[in-house]
Amino acid sequence: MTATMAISGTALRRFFRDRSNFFFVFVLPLVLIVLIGLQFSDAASSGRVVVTGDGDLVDELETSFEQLDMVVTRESDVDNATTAVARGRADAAVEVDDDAAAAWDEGGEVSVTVVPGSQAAGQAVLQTVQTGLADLSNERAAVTALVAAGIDEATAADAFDAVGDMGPALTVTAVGDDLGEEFAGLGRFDLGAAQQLSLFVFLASLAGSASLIQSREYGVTRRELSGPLTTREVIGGEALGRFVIAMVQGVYIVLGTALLFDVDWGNMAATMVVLAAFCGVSAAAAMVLGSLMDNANAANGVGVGLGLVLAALGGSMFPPELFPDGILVVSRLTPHYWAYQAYAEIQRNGGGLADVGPEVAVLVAFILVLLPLGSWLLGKASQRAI
Amino acid sequence: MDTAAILTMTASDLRQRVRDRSVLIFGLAVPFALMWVFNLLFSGVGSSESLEPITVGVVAGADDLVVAGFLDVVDSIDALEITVEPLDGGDVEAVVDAGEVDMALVFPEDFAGLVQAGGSPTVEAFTSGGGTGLEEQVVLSVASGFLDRVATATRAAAAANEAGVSGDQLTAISQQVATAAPTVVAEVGAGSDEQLSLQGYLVAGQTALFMFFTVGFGVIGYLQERDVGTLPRLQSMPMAPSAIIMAKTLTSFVLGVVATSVLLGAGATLFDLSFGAVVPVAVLVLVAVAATTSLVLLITKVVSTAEQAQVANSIVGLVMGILGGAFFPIGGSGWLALVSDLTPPAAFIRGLGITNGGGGVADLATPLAILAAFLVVSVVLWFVLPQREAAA
Repeated sequence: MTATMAISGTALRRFFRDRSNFFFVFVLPLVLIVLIGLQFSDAASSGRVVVTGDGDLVDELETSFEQLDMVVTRESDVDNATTAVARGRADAAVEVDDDAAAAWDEGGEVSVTVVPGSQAAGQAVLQTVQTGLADLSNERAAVTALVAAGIDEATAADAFDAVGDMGPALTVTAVGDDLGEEFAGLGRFDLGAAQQLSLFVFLASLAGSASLIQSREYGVTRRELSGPLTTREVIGGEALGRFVIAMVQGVYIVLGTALLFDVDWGNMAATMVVLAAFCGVSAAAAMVLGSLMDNANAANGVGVGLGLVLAALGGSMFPPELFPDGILVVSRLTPHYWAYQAYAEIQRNGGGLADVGPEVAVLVAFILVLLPLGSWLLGKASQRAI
Repeated sequence: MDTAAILTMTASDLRQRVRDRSVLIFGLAVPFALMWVFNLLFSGVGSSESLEPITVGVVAGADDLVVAGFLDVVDSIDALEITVEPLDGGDVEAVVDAGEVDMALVFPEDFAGLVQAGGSPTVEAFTSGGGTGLEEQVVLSVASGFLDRVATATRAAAAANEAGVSGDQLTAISQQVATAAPTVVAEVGAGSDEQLSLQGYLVAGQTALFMFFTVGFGVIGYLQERDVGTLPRLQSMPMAPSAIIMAKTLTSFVLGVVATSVLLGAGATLFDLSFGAVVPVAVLVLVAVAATTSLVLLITKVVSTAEQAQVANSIVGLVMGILGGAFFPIGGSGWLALVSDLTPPAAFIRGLGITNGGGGVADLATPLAILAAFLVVSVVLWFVLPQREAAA
């Protein structure tokens, strides 16, 4: 046990002696959480639409879209509007040309051009835009019918507005999982912070595989194994050092985002247990990678690649609730998925320690598989030249 | 100029990088894996290409005229195969949960009577699977549109009533509104020439992001030579000392151009894309790689060891990549959009959008100017700043 602690102490000293690691561990995660939070600052809206053109129709469209919770911006130039959509600055552009504006003023039929973006939100916003247009059509039909009944146009419009909401309405109840409820009550940074927490802890830990390779390159591991130490103790020591680094980073992200961005992490004890289990998986994965590969540069590349790919598959970049079913099966094979589900239970449903038991058990199972595997691989690695 | 020496060192570095497989992993395998995973994740979202048939359970009173009108509308939808299954009430939620129908609509008893009396009856929709399936969204959208129309007719009749229109005309007004053709319709127009497809954006973004990692293998090698003690040996050779850093820069440039070209070419083949004419794309790639190389060169000037340079390079690459929209386009406007526009990855992605729309070299003026500005500022700073001493 003393030997294990000594090895982990050395790993920690080596890590924190390099000052650039402070930036990587402490500053970068917060910078990225801010960026991602800013990016989704309009997430509460039903989409961002740019409207071009002049006249009453454009004014009425703007009002109609805003009533549907869309963020509307006006733009005089059509090319600028479509460029904004092309570059992801808006989800759709709605173009009202002069003919359409004039036809609307004369009470005729009107066709407006909608350009949706190629990102996923584009198609959803197209639907919302069509709902906005249908609302205008309905209102126009009502006023036309009232005018035909002998009421003058201004009185008809006022009378129609004065009636207020009435008539049939639709309510939707989701049977089983309800996504709206799933994300309800989450703050601007809450979802992103939980996702980034797993992404960074895992990514930074895998980078630690390079330090195990360095230990092997410098002959430190060989010397350790020549003493009365087993590969299990060596891996245990290195993994413990990596675990402490991951925990420091994780706790720092949790506290930093809670204080700076008001992220609600829910039951802190439960969050810390999930974090500890996930850090354990990350450290164990780093040991497997560090024992499997012999070149630090290549291990770094594989680490970044694995870190990003597993994060994407596990829901650290895009909520798994929106994954196609086939991908969800693969997603469940990643530790990120189980950490995501546990944080979701804590943050959204007020879950406590008992509620995240199954997710934590899966994460512990990952550790129980990966650590002995790392130990076995280190034994194999120590027998080959590096 | 020691051209021969520079070329010899460059060739040696390139051989070394290919041999240790790090370039292949960072420059090709990882970005490809990410493109593939992102494509799997995102291409299914919002796609309308493969709508599955859907069964909708309907609970309604017999011979309800308004419900019959709704079913006619449903029947007229060609894009989606909808099977209507009459249900006789009871626990509809359980029926949906058991999967007997995909979703259900429950109209209250005497729905038509309630509507005609000016009431506000509620139609309940029960959806399965979170209600996010595209098929369910289509049915909900149709139902919502139909009910909005009926509600408008009810409001029109009520407004007419308030305005003193006689009772026998009210039904006619209501019917006229309910059956009127839509006056504003949407036509889906062609996007901007610059609009990359979802897959095109993925390829462009990941290529821009990993450009930082790939070019790093060249210039950071200078610090590695110093760390392992081979730099003094190179400096003792009969050539100008500047030839060494020039060879490292050339290595970065060659690695960057080759990896970027392979990624764009293979990505285009894999996803059946085109980024436009070869010449403007080539110009963009050359300038973008040069700008990124100069930035990494600058990083090597302000750190002490190769390890620090690698970490700093990863940080700068990730921040620039995310800020430049390598993963998702940066939304919104204002200072964030402006800062995003000024990053090399954003300029590169924007440039590929322009070439994708048929733009030539002249049309690339703005992205090329941004990249050139990075190149010039980085090189000037590299000359001005003193080299940090090696860590003890």
